[in-house]
Amino acid sequence: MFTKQMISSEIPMLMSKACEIFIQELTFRAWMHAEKNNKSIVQPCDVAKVIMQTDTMNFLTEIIPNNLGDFSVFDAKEENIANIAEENEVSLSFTAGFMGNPMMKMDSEENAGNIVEGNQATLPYTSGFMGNPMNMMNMDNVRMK
Amino acid sequence: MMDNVGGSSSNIAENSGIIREQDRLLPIANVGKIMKQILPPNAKISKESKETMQECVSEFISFVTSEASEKCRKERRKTVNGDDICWALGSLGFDDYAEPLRRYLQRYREQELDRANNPPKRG
Repeated sequence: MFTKQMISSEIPMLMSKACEIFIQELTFRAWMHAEKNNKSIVQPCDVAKVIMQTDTMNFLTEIIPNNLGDFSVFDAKEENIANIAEENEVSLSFTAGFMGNPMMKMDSEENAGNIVEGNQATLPYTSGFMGNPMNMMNMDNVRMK
Repeated sequence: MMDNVGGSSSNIAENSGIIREQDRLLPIANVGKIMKQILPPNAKISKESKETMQECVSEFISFVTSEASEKCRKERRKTVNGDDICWALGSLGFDDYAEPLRRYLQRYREQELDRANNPPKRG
């Protein structure tokens, strides 16, 4: 038998404070994840990553897929980033710079040369990105589904 | 007021028995402000992240209050109180939250006691 329960008047106040702490913990961890990938905008995939990596946040795993049906896209992207990280310093800094500043491409012929000398695993991702600047917007469109 | 402050665009309930989408969640503006407080000035937060956070924090409320409610039922008490919430947080792995919230709760109760003992003077 489900019996009616009441809440003490102190609970809304207490839960408000608990929610603030929760929101800020999750946000800060998501920001650290975004920053690690050289981004200055916190995206849902950053939040999802934290939820999957943090034990106490496991209760949220069921609600994340509904918000992030395209999460696997970012998983793949991260694998590419990991590949790039295994490359030389120049490749990594070039890619990070490009993502941060689309105009950098126009004055970096030397960097482009270095990229071409990189290994096969790095090149397809980078060349695809460079070949079509609209890919970035396409990614955004995919993310918003 | 027809402003839609929730994450959902629907404001109209089909019937009074259904919880409106926006009423399921905390207001997105408030959630966004709390998120901004913890981040450096150069950080930005996408709209979708705020919506994701709205869902997460509502789930958090249900998760914690369900645990506290269950404890009360087992102990045959009718009213869930602040101590039950603190216990539930510890029980669910949020130990880091439970201790500061116990202190917060204690200060709140002291304030309530002060107010009771010193009713505001009539002007």
